[in-house]
Amino acid sequence: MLTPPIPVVLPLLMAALLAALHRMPRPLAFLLSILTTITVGAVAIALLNYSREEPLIVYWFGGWSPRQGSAPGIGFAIDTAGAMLVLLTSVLATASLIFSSRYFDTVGTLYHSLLLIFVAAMNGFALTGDLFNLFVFFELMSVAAYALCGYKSEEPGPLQGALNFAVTNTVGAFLALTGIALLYSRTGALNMAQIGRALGDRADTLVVVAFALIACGFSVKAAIVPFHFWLADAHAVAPAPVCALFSGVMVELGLYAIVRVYWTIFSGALATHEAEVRTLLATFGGLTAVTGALMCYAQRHLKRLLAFSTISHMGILLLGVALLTPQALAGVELYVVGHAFVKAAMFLAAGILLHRTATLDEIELARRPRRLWVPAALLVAGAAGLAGAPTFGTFWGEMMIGGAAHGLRNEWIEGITFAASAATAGALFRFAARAFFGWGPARDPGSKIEELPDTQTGHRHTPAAMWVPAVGLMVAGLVAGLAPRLTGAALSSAIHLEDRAGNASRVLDHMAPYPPAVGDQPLMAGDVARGAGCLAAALLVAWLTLKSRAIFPAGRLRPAVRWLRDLHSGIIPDYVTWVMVGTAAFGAAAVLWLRG
Amino acid sequence: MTWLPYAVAIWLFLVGIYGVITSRHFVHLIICLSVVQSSTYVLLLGIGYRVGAAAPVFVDIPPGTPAVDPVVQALMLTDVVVEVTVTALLLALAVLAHERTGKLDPNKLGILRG
Repeated sequence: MLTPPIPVVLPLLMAALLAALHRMPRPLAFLLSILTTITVGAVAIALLNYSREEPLIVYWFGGWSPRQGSAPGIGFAIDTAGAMLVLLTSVLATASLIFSSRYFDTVGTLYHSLLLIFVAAMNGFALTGDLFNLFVFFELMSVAAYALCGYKSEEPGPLQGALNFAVTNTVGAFLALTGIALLYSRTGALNMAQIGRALGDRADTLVVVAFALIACGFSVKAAIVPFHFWLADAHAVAPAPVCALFSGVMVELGLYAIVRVYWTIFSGALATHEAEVRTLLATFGGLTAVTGALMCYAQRHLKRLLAFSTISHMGILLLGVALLTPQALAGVELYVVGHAFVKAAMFLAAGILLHRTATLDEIELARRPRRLWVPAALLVAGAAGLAGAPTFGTFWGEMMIGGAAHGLRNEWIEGITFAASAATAGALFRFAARAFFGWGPARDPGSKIEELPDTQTGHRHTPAAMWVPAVGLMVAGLVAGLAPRLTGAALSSAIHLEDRAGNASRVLDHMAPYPPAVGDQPLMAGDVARGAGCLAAALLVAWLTLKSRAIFPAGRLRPAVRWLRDLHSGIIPDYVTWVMVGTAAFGAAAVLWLRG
Repeated sequence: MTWLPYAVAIWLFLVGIYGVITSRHFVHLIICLSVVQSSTYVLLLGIGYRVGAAAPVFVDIPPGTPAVDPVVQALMLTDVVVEVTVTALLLALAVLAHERTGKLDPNKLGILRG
């Protein structure tokens, strides 16, 4: 069987070809790259289909399969979640490529090359079963992402954003690599399943420190507070179609790596300390959800607003991961898929808005509101999706995370999820109402807003190549939520992901695990009420904001919000300091709580 | 002296991070980042080192001779490749930023905030 390497090898080969023949006509480069991402998508569907019979597909490069439980070679270990992420990557990449064909005035073949390298690295990251390989794909994906982020290098903004992104993520990669080296020194293995088996069921200081370093390193990519600072800067300046990939898949892959590493390597060694792991991860998750929501509400630049909403939703996802149950992890999987479609469509909507009006500033748009129906409809539908309105993927995700939180008597997690979803969706409703319809005050008597001159003029029409992929993603996000047997499939995938011993015997001893038959989680009236209630709360937030005289009324939270905004200084040394503070806090808590 | 490489690795990591945090020049900052990365080289090689063992080239040594771990050396070489790529890209970005804004102080670029 040759399919597993295709999602990595094919885009890499095509990227090299495009770079070598970079004088080829643009339509040809466009066609070749689209064909590549569509082929990868087809392979991902084949893998997904196959994973229904075999929940963990193992592939050894060069046929170096394990002997006596020891793996000398590098292998892919493909679970349903990994195959789903590859499918998601190729769908979003296809939409981005179509969008890019009209978005840039001048785009070279190298753009397509970079995008394909980015796709290949993300696919490899999602599929690999080898810890060092994970680091290499992490770096490859990051380097391609830095270059894409600073692609519009004629402006200073993208350069600064790319530098912030690159330095912070490089520090994160070193943290992860140090953790990987420590694990190798303990076990002499790089295969994740083999390391997990070798660690046994006790964690001493070295293992706990390795866990902390790897978790913090990948948290930089996953934009967990206080490792998140690069994300808003990178998203604010990167081209909109690139942002769709950043927010839709790349950031989530950071969290997937944490999940994968925890459940294949550390879950045995830390099994006796599950309650402490839960508290530790949930603390960071809750902090991320709240900080992201507050910052999201306080933004007036659409792409920054969307970026902070991504941070907030990463917090919700980490809260789901922190519960450490299959039900919650299944919810996280569904939430990631639902969020990816909705968020990518909204970033493309931001690109359309920029194309038409040459600005993304809420206040500036409010002075001359224009009824641009396509981006307006996309933002309103997307806000409903972020609120977890019924039949979006996010709704099913929140339902399962909420159910798991309820079962563990951790209702506060449901509360934070509700509040963060309502605040981020409310901020988007507010933006749409003000920017497209001119509702609410456009001038704040209390705050000084500079009169920005309108130097550029927008285009008069939205090309079909721009609105079709955006609308297509949003519709796909809605329709995907209607697929039958969704919660049951996610639950079965999550059970397999968390089955450390079963996966290890599949990888190392060639023993096939038995796929369990799992039923759907029944839909309760309370779940629908929560989704609808969150939507109503978001509309209420937007309405109250537009009704008040200030632009961003934060009431007694105003000093806190101002302090938070000051922390996001755009200065690299500050960001690296925060990464180290976060690592020290996580590491200290891990060493104190998780040993023994 | 088995603890020495680990002490050196920790020292390089901390001193490099200190350099990044206090940096006032992008080129300085990027070189400090390389110093942080060298700590991972030392760590990896320190993990694979065995006292009195030969280099892992099995052509001219008799079978059964203890050799240092070749895996970590391969990891370190990969790590070097990664580092060169990242450093080259960062320096290119810094040069471009200098061309566009005339500034090289990471504290004074200040376009993105809040």
